[in-house]
Amino acid sequence: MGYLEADKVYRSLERTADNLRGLVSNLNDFGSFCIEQERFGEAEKYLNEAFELVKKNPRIPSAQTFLPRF
Amino acid sequence: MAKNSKDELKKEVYEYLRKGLPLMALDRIRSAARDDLKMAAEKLLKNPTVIQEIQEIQEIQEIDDEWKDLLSLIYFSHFSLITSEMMSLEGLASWSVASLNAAKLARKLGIPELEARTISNAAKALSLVNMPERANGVSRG
Repeated sequence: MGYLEADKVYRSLERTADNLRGLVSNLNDFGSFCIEQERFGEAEKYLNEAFELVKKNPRIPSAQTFLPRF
Repeated sequence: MAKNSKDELKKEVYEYLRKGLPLMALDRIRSAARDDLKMAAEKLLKNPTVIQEIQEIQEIQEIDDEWKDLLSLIYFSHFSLITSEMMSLEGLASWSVASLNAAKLARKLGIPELEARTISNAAKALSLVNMPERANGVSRG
């Protein structure tokens, strides 16, 4: 179980504001993780997707999109 | 307790868990469940570590498996929330274990919203304790 598994489950859910927020948050965390692992191509893909989702869905509070959920 | 009201209570507990509100779920059980379940929930609220002795507690032995799983899920999802701010190695290990247990139970009980959230938290905890393969999801466990 990991980021990929969480991504799969989030994509299977209905696109409510909460589920979208979770998907974006997981994409951001996964992207940050990829940067730490020096997998820059993948990081760009995940972070760009998170950014596009936020742009298309103004219901997701932007303040939460690039902040880790600690 | 009549079957309908029992089902109604389960539905409410599932909904609280789906929203990520485990203590509200526990409080609901405490206020509305039949006596044996209420006693188990009160024990859990007073001392969350009783979940580790779940098989040995008389009150919990007599309740059905779904309720046992729900009480365990309440415990693990709450523990996942409270350990998420602990950045020591021990805290991160607790966060990952609680999150993984919550994810497995959420999958078993069919609560995908909670499953996704707890898997993601487990991955974050595992990446912070420097277990990148597991965090990535290459090793499924």
